[in-house]
Amino acid sequence: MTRGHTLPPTSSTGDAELDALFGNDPELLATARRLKAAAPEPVLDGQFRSRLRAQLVDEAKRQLSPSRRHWWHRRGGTLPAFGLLGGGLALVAASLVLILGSPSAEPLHAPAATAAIANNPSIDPAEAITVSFNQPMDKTAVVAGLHLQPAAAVTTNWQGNTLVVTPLHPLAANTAYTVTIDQAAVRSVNGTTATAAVRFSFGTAPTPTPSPIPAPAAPPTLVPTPLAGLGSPVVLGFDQHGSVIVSGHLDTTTSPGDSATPDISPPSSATPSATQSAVVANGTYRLAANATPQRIGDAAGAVAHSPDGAHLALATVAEAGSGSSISIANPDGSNPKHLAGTTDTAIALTWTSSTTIEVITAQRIESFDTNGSHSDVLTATAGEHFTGIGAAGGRFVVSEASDHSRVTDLFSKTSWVLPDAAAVVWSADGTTLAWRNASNSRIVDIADLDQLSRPAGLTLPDNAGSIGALAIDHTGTEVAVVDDSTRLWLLGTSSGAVLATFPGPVASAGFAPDADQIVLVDRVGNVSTSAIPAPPAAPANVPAEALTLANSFVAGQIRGDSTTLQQLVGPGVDVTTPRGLSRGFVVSIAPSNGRMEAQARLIVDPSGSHGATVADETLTIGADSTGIYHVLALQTGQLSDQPSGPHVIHAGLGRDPSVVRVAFDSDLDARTVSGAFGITSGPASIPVVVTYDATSRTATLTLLSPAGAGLTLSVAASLRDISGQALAHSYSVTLTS
Amino acid sequence: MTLPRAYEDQLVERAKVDAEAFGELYDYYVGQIHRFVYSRLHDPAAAEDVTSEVFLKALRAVGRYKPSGPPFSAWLYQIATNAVNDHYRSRKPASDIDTALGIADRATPPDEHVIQSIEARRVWAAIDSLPRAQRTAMALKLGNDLKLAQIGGIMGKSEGAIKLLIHRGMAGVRARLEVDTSPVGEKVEAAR
Repeated sequence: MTRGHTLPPTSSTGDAELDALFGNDPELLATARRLKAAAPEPVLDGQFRSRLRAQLVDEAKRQLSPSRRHWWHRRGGTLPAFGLLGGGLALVAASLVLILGSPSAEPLHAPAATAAIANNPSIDPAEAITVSFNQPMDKTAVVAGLHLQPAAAVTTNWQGNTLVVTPLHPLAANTAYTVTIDQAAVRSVNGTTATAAVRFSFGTAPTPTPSPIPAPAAPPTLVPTPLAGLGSPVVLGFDQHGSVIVSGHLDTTTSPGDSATPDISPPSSATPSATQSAVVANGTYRLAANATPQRIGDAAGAVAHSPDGAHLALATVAEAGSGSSISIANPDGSNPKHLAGTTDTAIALTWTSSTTIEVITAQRIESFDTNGSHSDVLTATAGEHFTGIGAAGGRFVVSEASDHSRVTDLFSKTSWVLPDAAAVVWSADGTTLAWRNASNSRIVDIADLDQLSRPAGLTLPDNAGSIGALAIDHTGTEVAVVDDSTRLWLLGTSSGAVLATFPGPVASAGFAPDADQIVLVDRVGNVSTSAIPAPPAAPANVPAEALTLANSFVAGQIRGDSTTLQQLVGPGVDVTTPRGLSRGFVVSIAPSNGRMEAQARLIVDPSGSHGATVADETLTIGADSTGIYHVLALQTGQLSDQPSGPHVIHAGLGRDPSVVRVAFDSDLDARTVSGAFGITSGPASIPVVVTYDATSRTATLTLLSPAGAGLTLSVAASLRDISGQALAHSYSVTLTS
Repeated sequence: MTLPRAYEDQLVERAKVDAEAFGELYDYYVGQIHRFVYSRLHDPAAAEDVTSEVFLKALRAVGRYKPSGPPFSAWLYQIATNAVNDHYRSRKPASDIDTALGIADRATPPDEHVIQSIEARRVWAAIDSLPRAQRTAMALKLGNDLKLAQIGGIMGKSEGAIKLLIHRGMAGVRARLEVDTSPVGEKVEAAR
């Protein structure tokens, strides 16, 4: 819980103002350094943070909601009529949803209703809708008269005089809804009916961010290329050329993958001569694709290349069976020179200068120079053991105890305790650490060196097991996790996204220096490498930057942010945005005449008895000579009343260009789906198979013949929602140019 | 550590009519406020409670915030400072730092990492024994890395006055602490 900041020189606190304040007083400067080093650095619990945020935003909405001030259907005609009831009652009455008319004309016991979410523009799409009545109601009648627009299947139940309406599927995101209960249905148990319908509106939050791009495809599977089979292999690292340095037992007498007698044979992609010439022996080997394994020394527990690449240090297993023999050699193993022996087995080596090697064993760190002289020893803190080294020049060493790990700076001997950390690994550039969370074996904690007390937790996917082994790439951008089912998961450290998987079996993994190769070792000693695939991209025919620009532009229109809009358009483009917009989104985007054409919809939410109004917009998007995208042309329609019935909210090709997805704002009558869609390529009709996912209100069209140019999607007005309403207007969009 | 003033002012104005804008302010400042509160209370549960209280008070009062006054961040820290003081007022003061920290019994040497944790708490407990203004300034400077001018804005004092408070505070802490270098690994002579 204390700060793990970067290490200022001993004369500095790391804060220029404090340095200036106490520069003339070494004792106070030392006190300031001590205080800063011990400064509490609490980790804010993520659940607490999220929960408090949600509570505050909800509270803010309650404070700000017009429902506290606005009467949709005001009983008694004027607010002052309630003024005498006092502040508390006035607050309750403030969201009454009721009946127009004069006070004297209304019976006192006429039904009245309130709805907490009325006029709230961004409720959680999964939130239930509650309508509270001021007296016992005829429940059957009320439910029968209930309508939700856009149509959504719901379940209802009553809690006293409150009707709870729960959508069967989460409502469409970023959508304005109107709830209506027919006037005649607003009937109390004693038969009194309201003189007007109950009607209120609300909106759903724009989450997830609207995008015509469908959910990410499954991450790719690695396709490893075998390098060699070894007995009990240990990956020690890489040389500067990216070859894998491995220690193990090589044997040519059996086939690859035989766990009893592992095979040295290079992969089938290797040259036949390599198979014939492989050496059978225990040793340390350099493995490279399409090359014979090169023996560079005896079996070793650790290797390290000198900073200038001129020498290789090896910690080989001592003949007595314990301890290690430390030697140096040329990178190819020639000209070996024994330096010293260690009492305990070396687990890691590092060159701290071109002539100094530090040897890490479980309990101590010993320093040798290349002439063999022994210069320094540091022992592990009681109860801990060293597990490895990290960062530039091996400056930091990691030790571990049962309930924590510790990072120690070998230069300053300062250390930082990492509570609940196990299996700490370090990116080669020294910037990033990753470790297994000891309290939750499915969480990988990632932290920058100067933010050790504030790690970001990456949770493995639900179908992954517990963390077995970890590796982090050289720049701290990707982490490889081997789970206890020997599967490999490659995660992005920033996004937490699964970038690739491999079903295994994998025992351990490591990254090559150039970061686009990963080496895998299985349980029987086969060593292989695989290219790390690029992360999933946007649909092949739409640059992600163009889509981002379209979304940003529409978001700027909704905010009325003219400064942003002017920055996003090209020269001479006149931005005209309807006033009072509540929400908007990009419906589709596709190439068109060498540029991108995006269709967007801008919406003003319903207000009072007036329904939503919408304006459709076409954005022509292109890149300038520097590759930056701009809106090059803009056509914005006039706001007009939004017709009832289902609307297309997103349409576009999937990442697989033989798949088209179309999402709607309404729950559809599944019986009307299959016949409502058409795909044409020029004059030719493309046969498709249509499936419908009611949860996401998305129709998926799989093309049964190759898609050509000029692919066009059309949706016919025969499509119906669950209320029987037809598609608001027939829909057609070009998907490929 | 703080948002650009112009952007912050815009965001605060939006927060008066847009719940999500308040959420954005919360996202930006909750970590800082929690760190400040924790540095003063040393109790995770109490720090969460007081942090919640700070933001709830800020939400209720944001409509009255005027951009012409101190920056929103300073205003928020003022609320936090008051909330911490209120919290202390509602508790009995600890009579002795060591007793309060549970380290008076030195018969059983604790593990190294426990020692480190206790060391951290002990040196920061020395701040807690300072007069209120000094400890607030020290916590904002050493715990939250704020600039002297920002601290002045929060505490309603000049930068020079803050320097004086921190100087006196540091001298006070220095007087309460003994010099202790506590190496993390035992350095020994070569075994061979």
